[in-house]
Amino acid sequence: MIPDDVYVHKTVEGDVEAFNELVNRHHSKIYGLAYRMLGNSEDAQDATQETFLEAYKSIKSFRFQSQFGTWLYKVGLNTCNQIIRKAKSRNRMMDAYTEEKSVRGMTETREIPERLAIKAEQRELVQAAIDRLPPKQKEVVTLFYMQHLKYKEIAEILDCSIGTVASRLNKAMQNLKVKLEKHYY
Amino acid sequence: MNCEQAREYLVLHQPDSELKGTKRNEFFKHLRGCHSCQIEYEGLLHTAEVIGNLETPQPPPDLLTNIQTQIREIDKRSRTAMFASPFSWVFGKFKLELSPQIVNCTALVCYVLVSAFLLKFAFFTEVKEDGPAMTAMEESRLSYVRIAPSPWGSLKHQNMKTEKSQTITIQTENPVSPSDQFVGLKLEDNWHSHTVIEGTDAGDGRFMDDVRVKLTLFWNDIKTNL
Repeated sequence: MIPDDVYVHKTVEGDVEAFNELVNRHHSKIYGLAYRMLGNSEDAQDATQETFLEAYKSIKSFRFQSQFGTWLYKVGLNTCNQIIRKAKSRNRMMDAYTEEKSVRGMTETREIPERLAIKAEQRELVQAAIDRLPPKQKEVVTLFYMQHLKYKEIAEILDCSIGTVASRLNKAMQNLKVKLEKHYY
Repeated sequence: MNCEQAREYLVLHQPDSELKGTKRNEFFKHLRGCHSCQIEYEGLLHTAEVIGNLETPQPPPDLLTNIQTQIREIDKRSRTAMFASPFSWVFGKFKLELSPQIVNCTALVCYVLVSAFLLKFAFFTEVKEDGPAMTAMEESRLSYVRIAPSPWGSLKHQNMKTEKSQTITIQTENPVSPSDQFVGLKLEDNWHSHTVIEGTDAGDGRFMDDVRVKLTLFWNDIKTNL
Protein backbone atom coordinates (compact mmCIF):
# COMPACT_ATOMS: atom_id res chain seq x y z
CA MET A 1 0.00 0.00 0.00
CA ILE A 2 1.34 3.39 -0.99
CA PRO A 3 2.01 5.56 2.11
CA ASP A 4 -0.03 8.70 2.72
CA ASP A 5 3.05 10.89 2.47
CA VAL A 6 3.42 10.07 -1.24
CA TYR A 7 -0.10 11.31 -1.89
CA VAL A 8 0.54 14.40 0.22
CA HIS A 9 3.60 15.23 -1.93
CA LYS A 10 1.55 14.71 -5.10
CA THR A 11 -1.21 16.95 -3.74
CA VAL A 12 1.28 19.72 -2.97
CA GLU A 13 2.53 19.40 -6.56
CA GLY A 14 -1.04 20.01 -7.78
CA ASP A 15 -2.51 16.53 -8.23
CA VAL A 16 -6.06 16.87 -6.94
CA GLU A 17 -6.84 13.17 -7.42
CA ALA A 18 -4.04 12.28 -5.00
CA PHE A 19 -5.84 14.22 -2.30
CA ASN A 20 -9.11 12.52 -3.23
CA GLU A 21 -7.37 9.21 -2.56
CA LEU A 22 -6.49 10.50 0.92
CA VAL A 23 -10.15 11.47 1.38
CA ASN A 24 -11.12 7.96 0.38
CA ARG A 25 -8.76 6.47 2.96
CA HIS A 26 -9.58 8.68 5.94
CA HIS A 27 -13.16 9.90 5.58
CA SER A 28 -14.64 7.05 7.65
CA LYS A 29 -12.33 7.74 10.60
CA ILE A 30 -12.97 11.48 10.50
CA TYR A 31 -16.72 10.90 10.23
CA GLY A 32 -16.54 8.56 13.25
CA LEU A 33 -14.65 11.16 15.26
CA ALA A 34 -17.07 13.91 14.27
CA TYR A 35 -20.08 11.73 15.05
CA ARG A 36 -18.80 10.98 18.57
CA MET A 37 -17.86 14.59 19.18
CA LEU A 38 -21.07 16.15 17.85
CA GLY A 39 -23.58 13.41 18.54
CA ASN A 40 -25.57 13.47 15.30
CA SER A 41 -25.11 12.51 11.68
CA GLU A 42 -25.90 15.88 10.04
CA ASP A 43 -23.33 17.81 12.02
CA ALA A 44 -20.85 14.97 11.61
CA GLN A 45 -21.21 15.12 7.81
CA ASP A 46 -20.71 18.89 7.80
CA ALA A 47 -17.69 18.57 10.06
CA THR A 48 -16.16 15.86 7.86
CA GLN A 49 -16.56 17.99 4.74
CA GLU A 50 -15.16 21.04 6.49
CA THR A 51 -12.21 19.04 7.78
CA PHE A 52 -11.16 17.82 4.35
CA LEU A 53 -11.67 21.20 2.69
CA GLU A 54 -9.58 22.85 5.40
CA ALA A 55 -6.93 20.12 5.10
CA TYR A 56 -6.77 20.62 1.31
CA LYS A 57 -6.35 24.37 1.66
CA SER A 58 -3.64 24.11 4.29
CA ILE A 59 -1.85 20.96 3.14
CA LYS A 60 1.29 22.99 2.42
CA SER A 61 1.59 23.60 6.16
CA PHE A 62 1.90 19.84 6.80
CA ARG A 63 5.57 19.33 7.73
CA PHE A 64 5.76 15.50 7.71
CA GLN A 65 6.76 15.53 11.41
CA SER A 66 3.78 13.32 12.25
CA GLN A 67 1.54 10.89 10.40
CA PHE A 68 -0.86 12.52 7.94
CA GLY A 69 -3.72 10.78 9.78
CA THR A 70 -2.67 12.36 13.09
CA TRP A 71 -2.53 15.80 11.48
CA LEU A 72 -5.95 15.19 9.94
CA TYR A 73 -7.38 14.26 13.35
CA LYS A 74 -6.07 17.56 14.67
CA VAL A 75 -7.80 19.47 11.87
CA GLY A 76 -10.95 17.41 12.48
CA LEU A 77 -10.99 18.11 16.21
CA ASN A 78 -10.53 21.84 15.61
CA THR A 79 -13.44 21.79 13.16
CA CYS A 80 -15.66 19.91 15.64
CA ASN A 81 -14.77 22.33 18.42
CA GLN A 82 -15.64 25.27 16.17
CA ILE A 83 -19.04 23.71 15.41
CA ILE A 84 -19.64 23.08 19.13
CA ARG A 85 -18.73 26.69 19.94
CA LYS A 86 -21.04 27.99 17.21
CA ALA A 87 -23.87 25.77 18.45
CA LYS A 88 -23.36 27.02 21.99
CA SER A 89 -23.46 30.65 20.95
CA ARG A 90 -26.53 29.92 18.79
CA ASN A 91 -28.23 28.36 21.79
CA ARG A 92 -27.33 31.36 23.91
CA MET A 93 -28.89 33.64 21.29
CA MET A 94 -32.01 31.48 21.23
CA ASP A 95 -32.20 31.61 25.02
CA ALA A 96 -32.18 35.37 24.89
CA TYR A 97 -35.39 35.32 22.88
CA THR A 98 -37.24 32.56 24.69
CA GLU A 99 -38.10 31.89 28.28
CA GLU A 100 -35.23 29.87 29.54
CA LYS A 101 -37.08 27.88 32.16
CA SER A 102 -39.90 26.69 29.95
CA VAL A 103 -37.52 25.63 27.19
CA ARG A 104 -35.35 23.68 29.59
CA GLY A 105 -38.37 22.02 31.14
CA MET A 106 -39.66 20.95 27.76
CA THR A 107 -36.37 19.50 26.57
CA GLU A 108 -35.81 17.58 29.81
CA THR A 109 -39.28 16.06 29.89
CA ARG A 110 -38.94 15.16 26.22
CA GLU A 111 -35.49 13.65 26.65
CA ILE A 112 -36.21 11.39 29.60
CA PRO A 113 -39.02 9.29 28.05
CA GLU A 114 -37.02 9.06 24.84
CA ARG A 115 -34.01 7.82 26.70
CA LEU A 116 -36.16 5.40 28.68
CA ALA A 117 -37.81 4.15 25.51
CA ILE A 118 -34.46 3.32 23.95
CA LYS A 119 -32.96 2.04 27.17
CA ALA A 120 -32.12 -1.22 25.49
CA GLU A 121 -30.05 0.52 22.90
CA GLN A 122 -26.65 0.65 24.44
CA ARG A 123 -25.29 2.82 21.70
CA GLU A 124 -27.65 5.69 22.36
CA LEU A 125 -27.09 5.63 26.10
CA VAL A 126 -23.34 5.62 25.86
CA GLN A 127 -23.36 8.33 23.22
CA ALA A 128 -25.58 10.45 25.45
CA ALA A 129 -23.20 9.92 28.36
CA ILE A 130 -20.24 10.89 26.18
CA ASP A 131 -22.10 13.98 24.96
CA ARG A 132 -22.43 15.18 28.54
CA LEU A 133 -18.72 14.93 29.25
CA PRO A 134 -16.62 18.11 29.39
CA PRO A 135 -15.10 18.81 25.93
CA LYS A 136 -11.51 17.89 26.81
CA GLN A 137 -12.57 14.57 28.35
CA LYS A 138 -14.80 13.89 25.37
CA GLU A 139 -11.84 14.39 23.04
CA VAL A 140 -9.58 11.89 24.81
CA VAL A 141 -12.31 9.26 25.21
CA THR A 142 -13.21 9.52 21.53
CA LEU A 143 -9.62 9.34 20.37
CA PHE A 144 -8.61 6.52 22.72
CA TYR A 145 -11.65 4.25 22.81
CA MET A 146 -13.28 4.92 19.46
CA GLN A 147 -10.40 5.83 17.21
CA HIS A 148 -8.01 3.49 19.03
CA LEU A 149 -5.09 5.92 19.04
CA LYS A 150 -2.11 5.61 21.38
CA TYR A 151 -1.31 8.02 24.21
CA LYS A 152 1.56 9.49 22.22
CA GLU A 153 -0.62 10.18 19.18
CA ILE A 154 -3.36 11.72 21.32
CA ALA A 155 -0.78 13.90 23.08
CA GLU A 156 0.46 15.07 19.66
CA ILE A 157 -3.04 15.86 18.46
CA LEU A 158 -4.02 17.72 21.62
CA ASP A 159 -0.63 19.38 22.15
CA CYS A 160 -0.29 18.12 25.71
CA SER A 161 1.78 15.60 27.69
CA ILE A 162 1.10 11.86 27.90
CA GLY A 163 0.44 12.30 31.63
CA THR A 164 -2.28 14.84 30.88
CA VAL A 165 -3.89 12.42 28.42
CA ALA A 166 -3.93 9.64 31.04
CA SER A 167 -5.27 11.96 33.71
CA ARG A 168 -8.09 13.21 31.46
CA LEU A 169 -8.94 9.63 30.49
CA ASN A 170 -9.20 8.60 34.14
CA LYS A 171 -11.47 11.51 34.99
CA ALA A 172 -13.60 10.79 31.93
CA MET A 173 -13.92 7.11 32.87
CA GLN A 174 -14.97 8.01 36.41
CA ASN A 175 -17.61 10.38 35.02
CA LEU A 176 -18.87 7.83 32.52
CA LYS A 177 -19.02 5.11 35.14
CA VAL A 178 -21.23 7.33 37.33
CA LYS A 179 -23.46 8.21 34.36
CA LEU A 180 -23.80 4.65 33.09
CA GLU A 181 -23.88 2.60 36.27
CA LYS A 182 -27.62 2.99 36.84
CA HIS A 183 -28.19 1.30 33.48
CA TYR A 184 -25.49 -1.34 33.57
CA TYR A 185 -24.65 -2.32 37.11
CA MET B 1 -1.61 0.13 51.40
CA ASN B 2 -5.14 1.12 52.54
CA CYS B 3 -8.23 1.86 50.41
CA GLU B 4 -7.61 5.63 50.34
CA GLN B 5 -4.07 5.18 49.04
CA ALA B 6 -5.17 2.47 46.61
CA ARG B 7 -7.87 4.74 45.11
CA GLU B 8 -5.09 7.03 43.82
CA TYR B 9 -3.90 4.20 41.61
CA LEU B 10 -7.37 2.81 40.96
CA VAL B 11 -7.43 4.07 37.44
CA LEU B 12 -7.26 2.40 34.08
CA HIS B 13 -4.81 4.74 32.50
CA GLN B 14 -1.27 5.16 33.71
CA PRO B 15 1.51 7.04 32.01
CA ASP B 16 4.44 4.71 31.45
CA SER B 17 6.52 6.14 34.28
CA GLU B 18 3.98 5.57 37.06
CA LEU B 19 2.92 2.58 39.12
CA LYS B 20 5.99 0.44 38.69
CA GLY B 21 7.95 -1.80 41.01
CA THR B 22 7.03 -1.96 44.69
CA LYS B 23 3.98 0.32 44.51
CA ARG B 24 2.49 -1.76 41.74
CA ASN B 25 2.88 -4.92 43.79
CA GLU B 26 1.37 -3.24 46.85
CA PHE B 27 -1.58 -1.98 44.84
CA PHE B 28 -2.47 -5.40 43.40
CA LYS B 29 -1.97 -7.03 46.79
CA HIS B 30 -4.53 -4.60 48.26
CA LEU B 31 -6.90 -5.12 45.34
CA ARG B 32 -6.90 -8.90 45.85
CA GLY B 33 -7.90 -8.48 49.46
CA CYS B 34 -10.38 -5.53 49.26
CA HIS B 35 -13.88 -6.25 47.97
CA SER B 36 -15.03 -2.61 47.61
CA CYS B 37 -11.92 -1.66 45.61
CA GLN B 38 -12.47 -4.72 43.41
CA ILE B 39 -16.04 -3.58 42.65
CA GLU B 40 -14.80 -0.08 41.86
CA TYR B 41 -12.08 -1.40 39.58
CA GLU B 42 -14.41 -3.83 37.82
CA GLY B 43 -16.89 -0.99 37.28
CA LEU B 44 -14.24 1.02 35.48
CA LEU B 45 -13.23 -1.99 33.40
CA HIS B 46 -16.84 -2.61 32.45
CA THR B 47 -17.35 1.03 31.45
CA ALA B 48 -14.25 0.87 29.26
CA GLU B 49 -15.56 -2.34 27.69
CA VAL B 50 -18.97 -0.82 26.95
CA ILE B 51 -17.42 2.25 25.33
CA GLY B 52 -14.89 0.18 23.43
CA ASN B 53 -17.68 -2.04 22.05
CA LEU B 54 -19.58 0.85 20.51
CA GLU B 55 -20.12 0.35 16.82
CA THR B 56 -18.16 2.67 14.59
CA PRO B 57 -20.67 4.92 12.84
CA GLN B 58 -20.58 4.44 9.09
CA PRO B 59 -20.63 7.55 6.88
CA PRO B 60 -23.48 7.93 4.39
CA PRO B 61 -22.53 6.59 0.93
CA ASP B 62 -22.75 9.97 -0.82
CA LEU B 63 -20.47 11.76 1.66
CA LEU B 64 -17.27 10.64 -0.05
CA THR B 65 -18.53 11.72 -3.51
CA ASN B 66 -19.66 15.09 -2.15
CA ILE B 67 -16.29 15.82 -0.57
CA GLN B 68 -14.36 14.75 -3.66
CA THR B 69 -16.56 16.91 -5.90
CA GLN B 70 -16.01 19.92 -3.66
CA ILE B 71 -12.26 19.36 -3.66
CA ARG B 72 -12.26 19.27 -7.48
CA GLU B 73 -14.28 22.51 -7.53
CA ILE B 74 -11.78 24.22 -5.25
CA ASP B 75 -8.91 23.00 -7.41
CA LYS B 76 -10.60 24.36 -10.53
CA ARG B 77 -11.10 27.73 -8.85
CA SER B 78 -7.53 27.88 -7.63
CA ARG B 79 -6.28 27.31 -11.18
CA THR B 80 -8.03 30.50 -12.29
CA ALA B 81 -6.82 32.33 -9.19
CA MET B 82 -4.06 34.03 -11.17
CA PHE B 83 -6.67 36.10 -12.97
CA ALA B 84 -8.89 36.66 -9.95
CA SER B 85 -6.17 37.43 -7.51
CA PRO B 86 -2.80 37.97 -9.18
CA PHE B 87 -1.01 39.10 -6.06
CA SER B 88 -1.84 36.07 -3.97
CA TRP B 89 -0.91 33.93 -6.98
CA VAL B 90 2.50 35.63 -7.25
CA PHE B 91 3.15 35.28 -3.51
CA GLY B 92 2.07 31.65 -3.72
CA LYS B 93 4.54 31.02 -6.54
CA PHE B 94 7.36 32.30 -4.31
CA LYS B 95 6.02 30.13 -1.47
CA LEU B 96 5.41 33.19 0.70
CA GLU B 97 2.63 32.27 3.08
CA LEU B 98 1.45 35.78 3.80
CA SER B 99 -1.80 36.54 5.50
CA PRO B 100 -4.66 37.64 3.21
CA GLN B 101 -4.63 41.07 4.86
CA ILE B 102 -1.02 41.69 3.81
CA VAL B 103 -1.70 40.46 0.28
CA ASN B 104 -4.75 42.70 -0.01
CA CYS B 105 -2.88 45.73 1.35
CA THR B 106 0.00 45.19 -1.10
CA ALA B 107 -2.44 44.83 -3.98
CA LEU B 108 -4.31 47.97 -2.94
CA VAL B 109 -1.11 50.06 -2.69
CA CYS B 110 0.07 48.84 -6.11
CA TYR B 111 -3.30 49.51 -7.74
CA VAL B 112 -3.42 53.03 -6.26
CA LEU B 113 0.12 53.81 -7.45
CA VAL B 114 -0.54 52.56 -10.97
CA SER B 115 -3.88 54.38 -11.16
CA ALA B 116 -2.28 57.63 -9.94
CA PHE B 117 0.47 57.34 -12.54
CA LEU B 118 -2.00 56.69 -15.35
CA LEU B 119 -4.25 59.56 -14.25
CA LYS B 120 -1.34 61.94 -14.09
CA PHE B 121 -0.09 60.80 -17.47
CA ALA B 122 -3.50 61.09 -19.10
CA PHE B 123 -4.82 64.36 -17.67
CA PHE B 124 -2.17 66.35 -15.87
CA THR B 125 0.78 66.35 -18.26
CA GLU B 126 1.57 69.92 -19.37
CA VAL B 127 1.83 70.29 -23.11
CA LYS B 128 4.60 72.71 -23.88
CA GLU B 129 3.36 75.08 -26.53
CA ASP B 130 5.52 77.05 -28.89
CA GLY B 131 5.44 80.39 -27.22
CA PRO B 132 6.64 83.74 -28.41
CA ALA B 133 9.91 83.06 -26.66
CA MET B 134 11.01 80.81 -29.50
CA THR B 135 12.95 82.97 -31.80
CA ALA B 136 13.38 82.61 -35.52
CA MET B 137 16.98 81.58 -34.92
CA GLU B 138 15.95 78.70 -32.71
CA GLU B 139 13.32 77.60 -35.18
CA SER B 140 15.82 77.52 -38.01
CA ARG B 141 18.33 75.69 -35.83
CA LEU B 142 15.76 73.08 -34.83
CA SER B 143 14.77 72.56 -38.40
CA TYR B 144 18.16 70.89 -38.95
CA VAL B 145 17.11 68.08 -36.73
CA ARG B 146 15.01 65.32 -38.21
CA ILE B 147 13.58 62.39 -36.45
CA ALA B 148 14.69 59.20 -38.08
CA PRO B 149 11.94 56.62 -37.72
CA SER B 150 13.89 53.82 -39.33
CA PRO B 151 15.99 51.36 -37.38
CA TRP B 152 18.95 51.99 -39.63
CA GLY B 153 18.80 55.71 -38.85
CA SER B 154 21.78 55.60 -36.55
CA LEU B 155 23.85 53.87 -39.22
CA LYS B 156 22.87 56.51 -41.72
CA HIS B 157 23.79 59.17 -39.25
CA GLN B 158 27.31 57.81 -38.93
CA ASN B 159 27.73 57.75 -42.68
CA MET B 160 26.48 61.28 -42.97
CA LYS B 161 28.83 62.36 -40.25
CA THR B 162 31.83 61.23 -42.22
CA GLU B 163 30.62 62.73 -45.47
CA LYS B 164 29.73 66.03 -43.87
CA SER B 165 33.10 66.31 -42.21
CA GLN B 166 34.74 66.01 -45.59
CA THR B 167 32.34 68.48 -47.10
CA ILE B 168 33.02 71.02 -44.43
CA THR B 169 36.72 70.68 -45.02
CA ILE B 170 36.26 71.56 -48.66
CA GLN B 171 34.05 74.44 -47.74
CA THR B 172 36.72 75.81 -45.49
CA GLU B 173 39.10 75.96 -48.46
CA ASN B 174 36.49 77.64 -50.69
CA PRO B 175 34.48 79.88 -48.41
CA VAL B 176 30.89 80.53 -49.36
CA SER B 177 28.34 82.87 -47.89
CA PRO B 178 26.46 81.74 -44.73
CA SER B 179 23.18 81.65 -46.60
CA ASP B 180 24.64 79.28 -49.20
CA GLN B 181 25.82 76.99 -46.45
CA PHE B 182 22.36 77.11 -44.94
CA VAL B 183 20.72 76.21 -48.26
CA GLY B 184 23.29 73.53 -48.96
CA LEU B 185 22.68 71.89 -45.65
CA LYS B 186 18.95 71.99 -46.15
CA LEU B 187 19.18 70.29 -49.52
CA GLU B 188 21.32 67.43 -48.29
CA ASP B 189 19.29 67.02 -45.19
CA ASN B 190 17.28 63.83 -45.70
CA TRP B 191 17.99 61.95 -42.48
CA HIS B 192 20.04 63.53 -39.74
CA SER B 193 20.96 66.76 -41.34
CA HIS B 194 22.99 68.12 -38.45
CA THR B 195 26.68 67.62 -38.95
CA VAL B 196 28.92 67.07 -36.04
CA ILE B 197 32.20 68.78 -36.62
CA GLU B 198 34.71 67.76 -34.06
CA GLY B 199 36.73 70.53 -32.59
CA THR B 200 34.23 73.29 -33.43
CA ASP B 201 31.88 75.21 -31.17
CA ALA B 202 28.90 73.35 -32.68
CA GLY B 203 29.77 70.27 -30.65
CA ASP B 204 27.88 67.21 -29.44
CA GLY B 205 26.37 68.92 -26.41
CA ARG B 206 24.50 71.50 -28.40
CA PHE B 207 23.36 68.89 -30.89
CA MET B 208 22.01 66.71 -28.10
CA ASP B 209 20.17 69.71 -26.62
CA ASP B 210 18.60 70.35 -29.98
CA VAL B 211 17.55 66.74 -30.32
CA ARG B 212 16.06 66.72 -26.84
CA VAL B 213 13.99 69.86 -27.50
CA LYS B 214 12.90 68.52 -30.86
CA LEU B 215 11.86 65.19 -29.39
CA THR B 216 9.87 66.93 -26.68
CA LEU B 217 8.01 68.98 -29.25
CA PHE B 218 7.47 65.90 -31.40
CA TRP B 219 6.07 63.96 -28.44
CA ASN B 220 3.83 66.85 -27.44
CA ASP B 221 2.47 66.96 -30.98
CA ILE B 222 1.63 63.28 -30.82
CA LYS B 223 -0.16 63.67 -27.49
CA THR B 224 -2.10 66.71 -28.69
CA ASN B 225 -3.20 64.90 -31.83
CA LEU B 226 -4.25 61.86 -29.84
